[in-house]
Amino acid sequence: MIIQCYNLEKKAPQQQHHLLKAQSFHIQKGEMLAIQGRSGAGKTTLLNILALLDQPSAGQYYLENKNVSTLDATEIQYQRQHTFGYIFQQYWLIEHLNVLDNICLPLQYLANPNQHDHQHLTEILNVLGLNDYLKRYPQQLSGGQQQRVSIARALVCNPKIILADEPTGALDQENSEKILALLAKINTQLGTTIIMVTHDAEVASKCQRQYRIETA
Amino acid sequence: MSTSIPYRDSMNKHDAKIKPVYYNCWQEAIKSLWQQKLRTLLVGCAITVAATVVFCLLGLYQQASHAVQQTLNQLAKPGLAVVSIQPKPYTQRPQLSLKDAKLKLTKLIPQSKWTGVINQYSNGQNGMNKIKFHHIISPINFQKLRQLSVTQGRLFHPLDMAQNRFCVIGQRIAEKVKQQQPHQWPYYLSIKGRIHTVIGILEPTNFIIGMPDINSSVITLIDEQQINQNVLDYLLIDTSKSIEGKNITALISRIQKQYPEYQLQYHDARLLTQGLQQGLQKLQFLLICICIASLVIAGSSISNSLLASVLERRNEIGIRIALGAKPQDIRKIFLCETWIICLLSCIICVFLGSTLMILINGILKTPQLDINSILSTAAISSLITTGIATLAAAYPANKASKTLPIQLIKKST
Repeated sequence: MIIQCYNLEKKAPQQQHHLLKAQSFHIQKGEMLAIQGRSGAGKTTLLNILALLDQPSAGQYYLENKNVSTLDATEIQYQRQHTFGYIFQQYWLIEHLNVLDNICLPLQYLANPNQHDHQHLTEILNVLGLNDYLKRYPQQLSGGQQQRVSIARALVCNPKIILADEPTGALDQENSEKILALLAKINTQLGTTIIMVTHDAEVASKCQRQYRIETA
Repeated sequence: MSTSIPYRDSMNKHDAKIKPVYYNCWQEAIKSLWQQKLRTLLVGCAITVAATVVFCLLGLYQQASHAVQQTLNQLAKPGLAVVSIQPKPYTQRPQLSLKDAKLKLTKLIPQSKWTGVINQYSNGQNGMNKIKFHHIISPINFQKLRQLSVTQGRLFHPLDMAQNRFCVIGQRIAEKVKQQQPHQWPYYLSIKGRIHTVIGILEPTNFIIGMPDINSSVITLIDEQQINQNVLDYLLIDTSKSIEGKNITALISRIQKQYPEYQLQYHDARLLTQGLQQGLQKLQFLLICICIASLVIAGSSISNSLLASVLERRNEIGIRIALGAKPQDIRKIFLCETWIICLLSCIICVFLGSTLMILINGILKTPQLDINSILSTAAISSLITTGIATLAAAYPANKASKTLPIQLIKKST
C-alpha cells in the first residue's frame, strides 16, 4: 500500500461544519484512481491532504506505511519534493517566471538540480506541445496551455504519485485525450500512482478504480 | 530510468537542445525585481530616504563633534587656567586727574594710528541726542590732536576703544551736554544713532587745526588699525610650570589688584572642558534621537512595503512550498531581493547624501567632510538601513514559509 487513509476529516477553521468526511480507503502502488463526488464534497481538500499541503482535523493518513502526523517539517518537505507531483485545478503558475522556468521550478529545490536528466524534460515538453511557448509568460497563455504547463511541472521530477485536480477541466477533447493517454502511459509503464479528481464520468472510467466521496 | 520513459519516442534531435536554466537566488531575485518594477521602485525609495537621512544626520554630527573636539583639545591641556576679562563699567573706573588724563590720552594716541573726523555742530536746539553734523571735513591725522589740551578725563578700556565710539567735543558742545546730563563725567553723545563716549573736552584757545569754531565741533575718533585685534578676550595661564593649581586664585587676586580696571573671572579649564563635553553629549543624544525617529518612520515604511510585497506573493510562496521549497529557500528569495534593493538604494544614498552634505556645508559655511568620514558615514547608514530592511523582509517571509501552503494559496484567492 502506498496510501492508507482512515476516516479523514477536515473542519473549516473556527467553524463546526466539515469540509471533508471521507471513509477509510487504501491506494495500491501503481494504481490509477479517480476521486469523484459532488461539488463541496471535499475532493480537492482530500487531494490537498494527500499531497501534504494541508492537515486533516481527524483521522489517520499513512504514506508508504508511515503516519504523516509523525513526520517533521523536513520530512514533509522531502515527501512533497520527491513523492508528489501536483496538477492544480487553477494551474497556479508563477506570473513573473516564463513557461520553462515555471516547469523547472521543482528541479531548483532538488539537492543537485544540474544532475537532473535534461532529456526527460525535453520529452515532457515535446509530448505536451510546449516547445513553442517556452519563453512566454503565463498571462500570455490560454487556459489549456497553462494547464499543460502545470502538468509538465508536476511531471518534471518524475514523482511516485501524481495528484491531479481536474487535469482536463480546461482542455478541449483532443488535448484531454492526449493528457489522459499520457497519464495512463506514465501509470502503466513507470508504475507511477495517479490519483485524479474529476467530475467527468468518462475521464473517471479510464481509471482502474473510482472512489466516491459523499457530501460532508 | 531514461530508457523506461514512455514518451521518449516522440523526442527529436532538435528538442534535445532545450536546457532549463537553473537560477540561483540572486538571479531569480533580479528577475523578480525587474518584473515588479513599481514595487521595486517604492521599496527602493523608502530605503534610499532612510539611508540618506541617516547619512546626513551622521555627517552633521561628525562635523559638529569635530569642531567641538578641536576647541576641547585646545582647552584640555593640563594645568591651564582660563581667566576671562570684563571691563568694569565706565562709571566704576577710577577718575583721573587732569594731568593723568592728559598723559593717558597722549600716550594712547601715538600707539595707534588714529584719525579724527571733525563734525561741526550747527545748533543745539534739537538736543544732543539729535545732533546733526552738516560740515564734515575729510579725516585728519589725529597726531595733531596731541597738541590739544584735555580738560577732564577718565580711564578707558581697550575694549571700549575697539568699538570706535569715542569723541572729543568743543566747549560749547560740552556746555550743552552738561545741561542735558547734569550728572558727573562721563558724557555720552548719540552720533548717527550710536552712543559715543566723550573722552575729552577741547580747550577754547586751541586753534591749531584751523577750525573756525572749534568750540562747536565734535571730533569722532577712528582707529585705523582695528585695535580690537590686540584686545584680549581671555587670559590663558599655564599653571603647570610655575604655579600650583590651587594657588591660581591668589595669582588672579594679585593681577586684579594690579589692574583694577579689569574684572577677572577664573574658570577652570577642566570644568570648561567638561561643560563642552556635556554639551557635545547632549548634541549627540539629540542627533541619535532624531536618527532613531527617522529610522523608525523610514523603517516602518520599509517594513510596510516589504510586508505588502510578501503578502502579495503568498500565493507564490504557497506554490513554491508545494513544489518542494524549504523555508530557507523562501527566506532566500525575499532576502536576496531586499539586499539587491538595499545595495542599489545605498549607492544612490551615497551620491544623494554627499550632494546634500555639500549643499548643507555651503549654506552653513562649515568645513567639508573628508573622504574617510564620508565613507564611514555611508557604511554605517547603509548597514543600519540594510539591517532594518532585512528584519522587515525576513519576519513576514519566515512566517509565511512556516505556514501550510494551502492556507497561503487560499488566502491569496
